Amino acid sequence: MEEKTKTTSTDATDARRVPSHLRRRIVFWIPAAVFASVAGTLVTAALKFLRPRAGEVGVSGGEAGNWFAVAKMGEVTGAEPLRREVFVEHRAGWSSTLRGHTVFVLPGEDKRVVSAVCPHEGCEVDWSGERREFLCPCHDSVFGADGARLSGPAQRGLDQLATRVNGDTLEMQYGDAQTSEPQTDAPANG
Amino acid sequence: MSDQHAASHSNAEDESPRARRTTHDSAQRATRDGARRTTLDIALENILDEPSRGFSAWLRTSAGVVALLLALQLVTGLLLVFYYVPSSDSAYTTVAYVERVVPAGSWLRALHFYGSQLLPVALVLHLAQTLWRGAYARKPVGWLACVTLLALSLANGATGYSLPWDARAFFSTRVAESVAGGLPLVGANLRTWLVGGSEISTLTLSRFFALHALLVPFLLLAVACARLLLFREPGTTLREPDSGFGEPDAARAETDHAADAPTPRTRAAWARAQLARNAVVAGVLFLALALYAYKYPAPLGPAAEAAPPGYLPRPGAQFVWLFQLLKLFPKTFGSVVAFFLPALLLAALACLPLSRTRMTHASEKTRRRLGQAVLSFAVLLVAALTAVAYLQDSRDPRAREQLAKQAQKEAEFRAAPFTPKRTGDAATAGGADTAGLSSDSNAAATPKAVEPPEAFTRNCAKCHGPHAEGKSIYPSLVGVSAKPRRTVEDIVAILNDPRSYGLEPRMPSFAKKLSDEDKRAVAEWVASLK
Repeated sequence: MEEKTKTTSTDATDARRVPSHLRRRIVFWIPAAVFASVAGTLVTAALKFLRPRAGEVGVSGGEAGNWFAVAKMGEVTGAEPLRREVFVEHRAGWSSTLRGHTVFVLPGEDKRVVSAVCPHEGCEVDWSGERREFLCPCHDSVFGADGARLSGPAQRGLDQLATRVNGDTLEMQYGDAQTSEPQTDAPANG
Repeated sequence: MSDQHAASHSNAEDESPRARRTTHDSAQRATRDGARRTTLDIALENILDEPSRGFSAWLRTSAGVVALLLALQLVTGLLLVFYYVPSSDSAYTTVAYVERVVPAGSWLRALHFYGSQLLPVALVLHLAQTLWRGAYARKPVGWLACVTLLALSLANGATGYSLPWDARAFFSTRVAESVAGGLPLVGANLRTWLVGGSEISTLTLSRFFALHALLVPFLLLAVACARLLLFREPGTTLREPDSGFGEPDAARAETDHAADAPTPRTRAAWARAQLARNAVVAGVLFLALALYAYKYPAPLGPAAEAAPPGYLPRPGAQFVWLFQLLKLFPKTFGSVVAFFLPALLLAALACLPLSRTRMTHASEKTRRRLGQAVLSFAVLLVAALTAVAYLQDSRDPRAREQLAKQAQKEAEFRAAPFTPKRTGDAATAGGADTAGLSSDSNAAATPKAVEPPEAFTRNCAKCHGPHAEGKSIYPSLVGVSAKPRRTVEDIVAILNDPRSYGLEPRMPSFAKKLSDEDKRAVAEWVASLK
């Protein structure tokens, strides 16, 4: 605003109609207002456009409530944990991917199902028949046959998944806690 | 803050912040006097031309329109890239997703689409306005930059049209490729380089995307920056009175009429007023474009592979004239005309302000007439061909009917719910039974010709994968019939008694689990896998 002319403006005729200080202010505010509204509109649209969509990011497939068949009841009688892979549809925007997730049906009356995802950094644990323990191949966390933590850097035992018996089929519920692979210490919320 | 003001104050109170203020003010004055200039000053001096008022001043807001559209194309394009995938597999799905699911996606894409068609129009208007005022002679760099921007915006329109990979994109790519291929001498090579091989493929799309989203925008920005900052345009500055370059025009006459020649101060005042005029026009245009884009989403035809027979592809509005032109000429000649006519017109316009210094006043006038003739010819040609193309479509009942049908289909497509595309290694993931997904939804995305029989999906897919591609320790069954002892009869026998064929105990017998028809269906299907 280093303008100090009063009436010597090129637009002398306009200047006669509008007082110069007002005119100067209008001339400043018009571009500012236009720029702000165009930019504001676009930024609003951009935020709406880029916002991750809650209904789509995550898991779907399986029956309502993401219940997946794990095993027939007749199969889960042995003394060894039963290794099973559950295929889950992961939706992200325009794409959907089927991904296999390994779970173990633990021996015992209560037919507990634990995720094979190590609660430490998300590697996949495997059952060692000779040691009768779950071993994590990455950082040597060790879990007992009941899924409880025995040693290693993991802070808790293998995550247990919600289960139910549907007829002769054992079903498990696959939840958001299983989609984020390196898991936090927050309890799985199925 | 006026200089006088600050000076009087600094006299009154010598020490204290005021003193610093004085130095600041004198620095400002120095800036204005040219001792120290900022980038913005340089840019301003480069774009500012002789002041003019009234209608002429409003006409000159074409500059603001061009700036708005360029910025809009960059912003909307940048946003679209957040979802777009340049692959022939996924491009269409991602565009459909943006169009149908993402909030504001349809609006942003429509802005980008209509903006791409308006940009050349705005640039031509800007050229015309510059030419008629004679400003091209005072601002040769500006003129050249504007012609280059026009060429680049057309190039980006052409490459961008391929990206949605719908039927019209596919055919426009076909035509572009074919026009390039029809050029003499370089044609064949140009075509393979453009297409990235001997025929249109996913590589073509990658190439067009790289050109559209990276190379051409980079050049656009480079030209814009060069025009604003790199070259000093003679003749107009905010610091000294007009040196009398160029020739008097209507605007100039008006200025003379308003008493004295413009001083730097009145120039600065005029520049601010002109900025406001530009903003008003650009703002109105944005509002109109935004409402239009909201009401009329950008077209999206059927997927490239799914174009129904009789589909009528139509190019973007800025290329309808070329499309019409191609109808008039046989193949090779058509290529030459479609390529060289725009190229020659643009080159003629670009050459206009060259070697100005050697020109006498008379030939300067002739030159301007020449420029006006070239531009008028181009505009009339484009307008006439475009009008003929649209008239032909609206007069031809079959074309009209087909286009109406296509519009109807498009509206239905837009209203239908979006189904995500199965991506990744869906086939190896498999296990449709455990996931509780129908194998049909799976198969839609995979290119397998024949779908497995239901018995396979229910009994075998769990281990061998939904398409028998194998999984971890379980072998793939694809191509198994090429091995010895694996005829259809053998496979049925294996299903009944795997041990007798030496299979591992993991493979159970299906003798009692499957009916004979199912065993045969499974065996025949497995044997058919190559």
